[in-house]
Amino acid sequence: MRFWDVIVMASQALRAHLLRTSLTILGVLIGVTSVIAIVSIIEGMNSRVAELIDTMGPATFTVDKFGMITSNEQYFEALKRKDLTMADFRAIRDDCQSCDEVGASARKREQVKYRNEKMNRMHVSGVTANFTDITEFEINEGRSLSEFEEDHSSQVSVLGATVAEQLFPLGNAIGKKIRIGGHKYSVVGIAKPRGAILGEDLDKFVIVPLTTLRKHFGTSRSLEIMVKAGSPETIQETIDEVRMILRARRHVAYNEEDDFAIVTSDAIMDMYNQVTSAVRVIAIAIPAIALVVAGIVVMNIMMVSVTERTREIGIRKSLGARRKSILLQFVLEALLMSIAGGFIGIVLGLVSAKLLADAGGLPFVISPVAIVGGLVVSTGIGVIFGLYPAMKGSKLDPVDAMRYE
Amino acid sequence: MLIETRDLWKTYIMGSEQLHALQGVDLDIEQNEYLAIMGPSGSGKSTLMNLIGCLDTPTRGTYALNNQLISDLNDDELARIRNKEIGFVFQTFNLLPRASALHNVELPLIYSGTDSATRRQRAIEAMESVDLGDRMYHKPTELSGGQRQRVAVARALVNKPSILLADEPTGNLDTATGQEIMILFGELHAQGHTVIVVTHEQHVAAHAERVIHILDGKIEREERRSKPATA
Repeated sequence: MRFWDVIVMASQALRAHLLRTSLTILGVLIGVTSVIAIVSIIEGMNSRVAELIDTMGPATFTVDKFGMITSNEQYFEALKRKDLTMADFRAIRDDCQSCDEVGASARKREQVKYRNEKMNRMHVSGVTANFTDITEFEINEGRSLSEFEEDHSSQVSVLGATVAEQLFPLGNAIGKKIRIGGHKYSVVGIAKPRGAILGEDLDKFVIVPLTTLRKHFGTSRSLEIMVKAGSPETIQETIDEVRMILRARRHVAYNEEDDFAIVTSDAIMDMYNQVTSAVRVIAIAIPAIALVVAGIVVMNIMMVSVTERTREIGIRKSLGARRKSILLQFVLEALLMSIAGGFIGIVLGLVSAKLLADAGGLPFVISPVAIVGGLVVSTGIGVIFGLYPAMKGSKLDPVDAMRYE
Repeated sequence: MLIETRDLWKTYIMGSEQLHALQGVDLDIEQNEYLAIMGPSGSGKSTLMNLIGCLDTPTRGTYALNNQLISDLNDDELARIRNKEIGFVFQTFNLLPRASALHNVELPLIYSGTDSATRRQRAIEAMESVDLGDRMYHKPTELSGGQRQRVAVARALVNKPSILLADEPTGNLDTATGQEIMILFGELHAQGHTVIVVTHEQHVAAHAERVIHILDGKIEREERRSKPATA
């Protein structure tokens, strides 16, 4: 018996029960669609997060009072720590041998205003002028802050793309004077748009010189110190050196833990993975249940089909069909349905992932893992759940089967 | 010798009881015989047909077809024998209802792995040999009883089997159509086919050269006719 003939016979049998076939395909399709959509969205989110963390640069780390806080206890513990001061910053900048570049920043939320356009509680970051050398910050229009402006506490600002768009819908922002918390600043540059993650706009910020921020809004807050090591390979040595400098300055006893936190891009990525891993498992497990249900649907239909066609099986056997031929015919019927469901499911899954990604401001990633997985799983469903009914059919006794009404 | 059975027994276990459907049948059938197996219902004639047709295996005894011992073959080997050596014609036609007449006739060739061009060619020839050249693409439900049985005969002959094995072939047909089928069998026998008809009707058996009477699982008597009935 030729393989092509079996495919033809199987597809004829499927066409004979079009409604039943379509419903079974629908069952597989729903499962595969949801798995593909969710896997694609998760991958999109991961690539987005990785991309954002990468803007920090692989050789860069920050020193911060709080670091990454995951519980109330940690927060209250960290609250007791001493602030990171300008003196700490200068000590690292001046004493750290292995540091390539050292900068500092502080943040505040202030109203930003141009004529009648107001934006409340905007992130205003005060930074040292060298921050563009430390992070992967890029300017789209105009220029960044200069060292001269830092030294003279100049009232200049670089706007995030969204802020620029909202305050200056017609463009021409450069050179205009905006008000930040009531103080006048000229706009010298606009940052390159970074997009959004989980609906949070990453372009809603204003950057001013650190010295100016401290002059206008006070010196009371803890600084974030940014350090760029010579290379990604030597980052650990640099971290150790910075820790030694700070521990000595801040009088941390040898048996005490650091009273500050070091944050690397790897640590952020780890943190992200850790926080989202449980969500990911659940997000994939639920549609996976849909796949199991799809398998049961396939099996159920094949059981009905085999029982209904007992007589046909008997006739085929009397004409010389072997067990293998009957087995193959029924497994192929299950397989054709589940592969059809798999293919349509992959397409629909990717389409819905694309729609959701667009709606949520995430990048759309065509995940090869999801596609291959979808095909493998749908094929597996066909074979695994089609095999038992097919075996049942293939073992029927021809005499009994032909007598079946 | 085409068929040779020796001390053929078939025993069914029904709960705690044993039912002997066949009790030691010795039967020799030669090439190109026209044989009728007769007996009332429950006599064991269907069981004998199933064994001869390789649909079932005996509980005891031996069965040789074309000098090949059938009684201890496995499922797949039996399937191969059914495909190559036996052409079945059933009382209820046993055609696949959703397939065209031509596809039904092609089935034995599909299972023997014949390529599709040869298959189509031989199926068309078989359909023409039973005068159904103009009904090839009809579904069985679109055909009359006599036409369906002729499709079944075409299907039985398409793989050029050693034996044409018919089980009550006229049972579901009216007298005239039944007569037509029996004439067809007569013609096939005249062309050199070995024909075995299982029946309980005297006028059907009357077409055969040799009639085996079965009763209670045993051959009761045998009659030979030099000139069988033709109509």
